[in-house]
Amino acid sequence: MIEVQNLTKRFDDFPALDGLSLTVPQGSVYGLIGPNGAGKTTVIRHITGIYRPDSGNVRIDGLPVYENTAVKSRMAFIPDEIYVPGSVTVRDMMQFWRGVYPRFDASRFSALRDVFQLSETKPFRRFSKGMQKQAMFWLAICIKPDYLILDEPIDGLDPVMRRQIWSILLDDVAECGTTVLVSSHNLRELEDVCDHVGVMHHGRMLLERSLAELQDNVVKVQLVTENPLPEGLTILHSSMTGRIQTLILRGRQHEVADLLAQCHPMLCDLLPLTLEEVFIYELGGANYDVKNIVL
Amino acid sequence: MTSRTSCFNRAIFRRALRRTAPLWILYLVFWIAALPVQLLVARSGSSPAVSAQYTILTAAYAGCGVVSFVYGLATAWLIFNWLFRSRSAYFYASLPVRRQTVFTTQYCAGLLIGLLPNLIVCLLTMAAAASLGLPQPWACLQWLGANCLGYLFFYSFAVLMCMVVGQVAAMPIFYLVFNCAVYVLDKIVHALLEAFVYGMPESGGSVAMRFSPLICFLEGGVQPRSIYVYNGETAVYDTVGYGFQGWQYLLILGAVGVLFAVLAFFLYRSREMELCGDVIAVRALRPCFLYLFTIGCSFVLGYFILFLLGAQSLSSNFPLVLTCLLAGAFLGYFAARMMLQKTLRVFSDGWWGYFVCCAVILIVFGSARLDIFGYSGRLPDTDEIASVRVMTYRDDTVGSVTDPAVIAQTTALQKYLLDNQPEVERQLRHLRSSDSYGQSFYLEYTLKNGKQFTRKYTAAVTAETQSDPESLIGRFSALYNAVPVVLSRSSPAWELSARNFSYCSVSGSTDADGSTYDSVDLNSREAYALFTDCILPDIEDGTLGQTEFRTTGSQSKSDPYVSVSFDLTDAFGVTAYYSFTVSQEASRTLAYLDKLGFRPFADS
Repeated sequence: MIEVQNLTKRFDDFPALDGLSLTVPQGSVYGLIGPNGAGKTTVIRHITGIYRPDSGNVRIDGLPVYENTAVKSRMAFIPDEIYVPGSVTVRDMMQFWRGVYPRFDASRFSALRDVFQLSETKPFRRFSKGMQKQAMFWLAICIKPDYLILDEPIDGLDPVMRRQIWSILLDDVAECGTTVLVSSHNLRELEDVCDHVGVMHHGRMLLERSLAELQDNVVKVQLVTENPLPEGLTILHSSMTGRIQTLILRGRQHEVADLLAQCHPMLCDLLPLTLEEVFIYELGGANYDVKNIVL
Repeated sequence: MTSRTSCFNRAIFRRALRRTAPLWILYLVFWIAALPVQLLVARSGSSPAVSAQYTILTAAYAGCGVVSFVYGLATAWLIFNWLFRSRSAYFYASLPVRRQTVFTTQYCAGLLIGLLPNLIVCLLTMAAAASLGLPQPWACLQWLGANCLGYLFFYSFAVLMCMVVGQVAAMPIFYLVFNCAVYVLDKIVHALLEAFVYGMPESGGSVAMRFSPLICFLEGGVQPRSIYVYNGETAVYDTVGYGFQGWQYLLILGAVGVLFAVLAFFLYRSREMELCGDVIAVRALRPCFLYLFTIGCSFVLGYFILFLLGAQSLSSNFPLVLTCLLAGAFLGYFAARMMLQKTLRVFSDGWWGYFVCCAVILIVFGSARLDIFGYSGRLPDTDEIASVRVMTYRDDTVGSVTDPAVIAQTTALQKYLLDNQPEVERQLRHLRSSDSYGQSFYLEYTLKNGKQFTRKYTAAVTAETQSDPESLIGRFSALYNAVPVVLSRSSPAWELSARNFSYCSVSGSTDADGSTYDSVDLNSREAYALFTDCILPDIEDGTLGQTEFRTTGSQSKSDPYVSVSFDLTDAFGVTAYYSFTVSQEASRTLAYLDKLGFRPFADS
C-alpha cells in the first residue's frame, strides 16, 4: 500500500503540494487525475523517491521511500518524459536494468519480445516517442514490480498498443497483485482501467474514492411527470428537453427510484453515468477547473 | 527486504566506462603518440639518454598541468552531466541504488579512466626507452606520478563543480573561473588598492598563484629543471639530466583533490534533484554565489570599465574608480540574481542586497583611501630594522643590506616620502612630457622580530628633478647607488666558488668606434676570476654598477656598450642572473676585457 500523508513541497515561493494525502490500496489500479499544474507529477516524484519532502511522509508498505533501495527495487517508474541515455539500445538498457534491479527477469524479457516487436539493437533515441514508451513498458514489466508508477503513460501510443499494454498490465495486476498508480490529466484514459481515483487540484487532493463508490452515489434520471418532484432529492443538475426532464441526483439507484416513485412519473429511466459526468457534477460546482480534467 | 549497503554498482560502472570510451581512448592514443612513439621516432642529440629524460619530464609538465586540466574537466563532465538535466537526474534518482553508491561508482570510474591510461603509457614508455638502450624508469615514474596527481586534483575539482553547479554550460565556465579566480582577483584588487594606498606594492602573485592551479602550471610553477655537474677538466657545467620540481605542490594538489572528492560526495548526498538545471544546485550556496559574484564583478568589471574609459591616474580619480566599482557590482549583483532566479525580472526587489555590497566596497576602499589602519604611514625605527632591500623591480636575487648607514638612509627616504606625499603625487600627476616618466622603486624592510614589509613608491623623473640631489629621484638615486646596495643586487648572498658559475658571456664593441661587435663565452674558472677579481672590486670602488635616472631612461654611465653576464647556480640548483654594463672607470674589469680583445675605450 502506498501512503502519502500531509505531503508539502515548495519550489521557491510556489507551493506545489499543500498538505496532500493519498492512499493507494494494495493491488489496486489508482488513477491520479488533475489538470495541468495540479501537482500530479510532483507527488509521483515523491513516491518514486526522487524528491525529498519538505514535510509529510511517503511510505510504501509502511517504509519510507526516499533513499530506500529495498522499497525502490520493488517499484518500476515510467515518467512522462523518458530519459534516453546516449546511443544505447533496448538490449543495453535491459543489461543496465538487470544490473540495477535485483528482480529483473531476463526470461520474461525474451518472452515479451514478440509482444512488443521492437528492435533490440536499434539506438533508443531513434525510436518514436510511442516506441520509446513501449520499450520502457517492456523493461518495467520485466522488473516484476510490486508497484508500477506511471506518469502520463500512454501519451504517444497508438490505440492498439495502448490496449495491448493495458492488457499486459492488468494481467500483471491480476496475477501478481501489482499495485498501479497512474496519473493523467485526461479522465477518459483511465475510466476503463482504474478501480480507485484521486482528483488533485492546486496541490491538494479534492476527492479520493473507489470508482464503484463514486458511480454508485450519483444517478442520472430521465423523467416525465406532471407532479412536483418529491422532497429529499439532492439535485446536482437539471435540464429540460420538451417534456423530458434530465436530472443528475446524488444517492444510490434504489433510493432515488423509491423517492421518484412518489411523483408517479410517466417515464423514469435511471441511466449509468460515465466517470467524466460524475466528476463534472461532483466537482463542477465547486469552482474547480473540471473542464481541464474531462476534456 | 533488507538492502545491502554497497559503494559499488557494476552496471553503473560499466555504463560510465562505455560512455566515456571515446574520450579515454583518445587520451590514451594522444599520450602513446606523445611519449613512446615520440621517443622511438625522435632519437637524436649528443646524449640521447638526457634527451629522452627531457622528453619524458617535459611531457610530465604538460601532462599534470594543461592536459589534466582539460581531461579532468572532460571526464567529469561526461560522467556526471546527467546531473544537469532533470530527465536524466530523475532517472538516476529513481533507481534502487543509494546515492553514495552512484557517486562512488561513477567517481571511481572517472578516476580509473584517468589513471589506467597513464599507467599503460608509463609502461609503454619504459619499454620504448629500454628498447633504445636508454632505460628511464625513474623519469617514467615521475611522469606517472605527476600526471596522476594533476589528474586527481583537476578531476576531483571538476566533479565538485558538477555537484555545485546545476547548469550544463555554466559548469565548465565555473571550473575555468575558479581555477584562475584567486590570481586574477589578487592582481586586480592590488592594482586598485595600489592607486589609493600610498606605498602599497602590487601583488607579487606567488601565493595567489598557488591557489590558481591552472595559472601556476602555465607560469611554470611545476616543471623540469636541468641537473648540472661541474666538469673539472673543461671547467664548464654539463647537463647530466633533468629533475622534476614542484612535487610538494603536486602532492598538496593531490590531497586537496581527495578533499574535494569527499566534499562532492556529501554535496551529492544532500543534493535536491529539483534544482538540476539551476546555475547553483546547492541551495545553501546560493547567497554565497550571489555576493561573491557581485564582489568579483565589482572588481573585474569595474576595472574593465576603467580601462574602457581610458582612466590613467587612478589615484587622482577616486570618485571615478568608486563609481566604476559600484557599476561593476550592480551588473554582477543583478546578473547573479537573473541566473539564480532564471528570469530577467529581478529589479523589482532585492535592492538591499546590492546596497549592502555597495556599503562593503565603500568601507573597504574608503578606509584604504583614508589610511584608517595606518598602513601608509608606517615607518619603522632604525633600531627595529635588521636589514633592507632596495629595488627598482621585484627581484628575489637582490640581497639584504645590513649596513646601518644604508638603513638610516632608507628610513630617511621613506620619511621624506611620507612628509611630502602631496608634492610627490602632484609631480606624478603632472608628468605630461614624453621625455619624463615615473620611476617606481621598492623599499623592503626586514625587522628584527622577523617580520617583513615592503613599500612601493614612484618618483617623477623630469628635466628638473634628475639633476636635483634634493628631489625624490635624487635622494633615491643616492640610496640606490650606495656601494652596499649596488653589491646587494650584483652578487648572491651565498659564498662563491668557480663551480657556481654555470655560464658567463661577454659581448659588445671590441673597439672605441663601435664598428665591430663580438661575443665570448668564459668557462667557470675564467668567469669566477673576472667576477671576484675585477667586477666586485670595481663595484666597491663605485666605478661599476652605478645607475643614473635620466629623462632619456635609466642607463649606465658607460658608452659605448659592453656587457658581461653571469648565470650562477648554487648547490641546491637555485639560479641567479647578473649583468653588468662596463663603465669607462671600471679599470680592473676593462683590463681583463682587454685580454679578451674588448677595447671599447681604447682611445679615451
